[in-house]
Amino acid sequence: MTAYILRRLLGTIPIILIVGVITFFLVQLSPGDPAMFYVSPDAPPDEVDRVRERLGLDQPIMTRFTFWLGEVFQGNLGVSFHQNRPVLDAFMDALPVTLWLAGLSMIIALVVGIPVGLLSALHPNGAVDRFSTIFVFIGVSMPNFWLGMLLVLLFSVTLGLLPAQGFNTTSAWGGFRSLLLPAITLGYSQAALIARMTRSSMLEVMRQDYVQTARAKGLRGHVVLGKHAFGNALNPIVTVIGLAIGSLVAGSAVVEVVFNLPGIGRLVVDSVMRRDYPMIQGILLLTAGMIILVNLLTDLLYALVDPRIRYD
Amino acid sequence: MRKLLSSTSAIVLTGGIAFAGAAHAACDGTYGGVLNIAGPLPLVTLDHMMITQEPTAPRNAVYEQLVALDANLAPQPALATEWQVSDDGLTWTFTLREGVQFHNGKTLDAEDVVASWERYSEVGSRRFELADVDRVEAVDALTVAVHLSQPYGALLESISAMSGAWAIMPAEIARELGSNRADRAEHVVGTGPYMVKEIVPEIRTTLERFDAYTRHDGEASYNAGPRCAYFDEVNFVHIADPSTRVSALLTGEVDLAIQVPGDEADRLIAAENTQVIPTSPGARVYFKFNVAGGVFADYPLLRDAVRAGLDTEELMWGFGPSDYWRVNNTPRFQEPQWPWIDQSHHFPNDMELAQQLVEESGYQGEEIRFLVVPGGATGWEKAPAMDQYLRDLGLNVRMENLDSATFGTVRRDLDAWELKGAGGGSLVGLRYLDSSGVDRNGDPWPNLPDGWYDVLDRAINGEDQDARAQAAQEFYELQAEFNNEMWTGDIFVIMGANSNLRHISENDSTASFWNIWREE
Repeated sequence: MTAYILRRLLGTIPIILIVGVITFFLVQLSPGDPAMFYVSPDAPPDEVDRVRERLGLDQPIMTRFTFWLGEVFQGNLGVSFHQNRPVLDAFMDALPVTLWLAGLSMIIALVVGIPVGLLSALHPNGAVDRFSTIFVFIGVSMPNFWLGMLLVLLFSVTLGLLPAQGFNTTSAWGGFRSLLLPAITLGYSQAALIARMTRSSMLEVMRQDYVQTARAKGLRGHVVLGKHAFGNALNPIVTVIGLAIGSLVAGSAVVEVVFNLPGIGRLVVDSVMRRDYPMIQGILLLTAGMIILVNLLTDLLYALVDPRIRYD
Repeated sequence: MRKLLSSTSAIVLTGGIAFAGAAHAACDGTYGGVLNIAGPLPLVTLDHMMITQEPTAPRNAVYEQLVALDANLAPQPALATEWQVSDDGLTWTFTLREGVQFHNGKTLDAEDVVASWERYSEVGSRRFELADVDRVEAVDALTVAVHLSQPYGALLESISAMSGAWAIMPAEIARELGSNRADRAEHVVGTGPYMVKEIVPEIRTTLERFDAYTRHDGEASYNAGPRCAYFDEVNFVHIADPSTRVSALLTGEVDLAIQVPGDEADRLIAAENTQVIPTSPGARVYFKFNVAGGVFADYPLLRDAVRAGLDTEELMWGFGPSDYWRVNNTPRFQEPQWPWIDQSHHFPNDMELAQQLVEESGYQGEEIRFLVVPGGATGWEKAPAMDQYLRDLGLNVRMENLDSATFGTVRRDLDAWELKGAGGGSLVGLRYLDSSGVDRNGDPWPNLPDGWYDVLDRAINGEDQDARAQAAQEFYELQAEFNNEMWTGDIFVIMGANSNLRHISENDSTASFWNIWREE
């Protein structure tokens, strides 16, 4: 197992490198000049050139690339054009908000998605299953930002129960309250996917001979369900959960903007709008690394839920 | 030596018409509390010299300048109480206000003004406007002389710019910072009514009242006059999404929301605890023809055709209910700072005439690339209506909706477009004429009519203020006749505010929060 983990970790290096190269050139070659954000709109060309020089944009792109890559290998992701401070500092300031948001969303997705999927599988084509289908249909088709706005209108503006925006750092309870609506917004679509996957996986497993045998032995329904069926249905569910974590991090951008949360998603949106090259490159590189690690953890989790899988 | 006091120059520059603006000098409102303001732009620094595209209100609350613009866009005393210009127009002498304290306790003197200029001349993002300034000299402790290489009539307007400004800071901080940006609170030191408490980049900036603030004389008007710091603290938070700003206002999480979209204002009007304040000047809405090349240069009559059939009112409905915009043929548009404004005769709104002009122009159906950028006056609010109108006129138009960073680059390439939707601040003082003969990139436009730059030169650099105003009028008549751009209207910047806030100025779209108080 240790050797496998080491092999996988070593394998991430070229992947991150490739992500870095692609990101660098995509970002730097995209239209729009970052210097325009630091001069007056009617500034003459020499003023724009002066800012470009200050930002290092007067250098050829390959020179910029080799410099950036060299710095990355030394653990330096550069200095943000806009914030004028190290990219890593800005990232680390924003990371906790996104992690809390993604974590709470994941909990909501699991707590809602798995029971709905289980109930749906236990009563296929019944009323619960129909409700589950509608729940899933809405979850996968409704845009995040729209759901977020509806929740704000209902729970914040109309009922006054929860804050409409921002991240409260004064207390744990305040932080939880400010993350609840964004987490529901972000977690709903994932709950729908998990519910759907749980349902189909459970239906598949419950048709297997060993489940029929367990029932024939006279085992109680919840034992058959919990011990024999659900355990064996977990593999595809774990896969969906692994994918969901990536989606939660990526999907946080829209939700963080709508709820004005100072996380990585909002940071990257602001940075793209301002063509803050070092910040975009740094965030994408670090996020890619995080998602690769999550995938690794997901693979390791397979061995826990399925004894047949061994990595030795 | 001629002695110029701001009150006289205000009359000269604006035609002597008083501008609406509530008098406010006594500072007798209610003190205390915290004001939370939400704006659409992130705030990462309060360096008043280096930044232009960040919220201006917090910086103007921290820093002050020698002179400040009033609601008529006329320079008024601020840190300078009076000024004189030499007969040759080459030396301006400013007398500083006595006993003014910086936030760090130091007392303002001429050396601070000189050091601030030295830093501004190195890093100031609008320093090109002051290219004629040779040097700034401390004559004595409270007198500063600005020496010019040639007369520059718009000097006072340029040094009172509210963004990318020659802000006055303590000499030792100006020298310590040099070309570095003032990001840390200890480097953001001015003489304004509020001082920095905390800067959390892109999230929140907290200011607190400066108790030793030296209040100016006169009446509060726009950026000029006395400033009263009623609140103990002011938080400026960045909420990018306009709907979220409105929701935060409705729930009481913020007290003042800047730039509420017209179609969201009804939510605030319907609520009991909020009010809506359309502020003017807001932003002007215009379209620019590319007269350097392409169809509008090849067929000049086509420009007249586009103007002839345009229904400006229909176009402006894209910005929401008519309470929040105005077209240029309404009496409300006649404001003193825009002496050229009545262009109604240039928009006959005659579709038959327009189509006839298209036929006569020689246009052969070439593609017209129409650039627009989301947001505000430049945005898609007006673009679909314009796009449809051009199609109805029989033009082969292709609308390109670009993000602002891309738009900023593409618009400089004169081979890349024929028509662009544009927008800009409505604070069109005479110094802004600087950019009217160029495409904001400093390059003169080709094909401009005779006399263009001569008129501009008189309007900008002339010493006689009456003559400058007259030249400005001539310039706008010339521009309307040449028809290189169509100014179709003006949008207000809508402020949403808690209903217990008092004295929010209708003449200030930047949400300057000094002089606002909360009535409990």
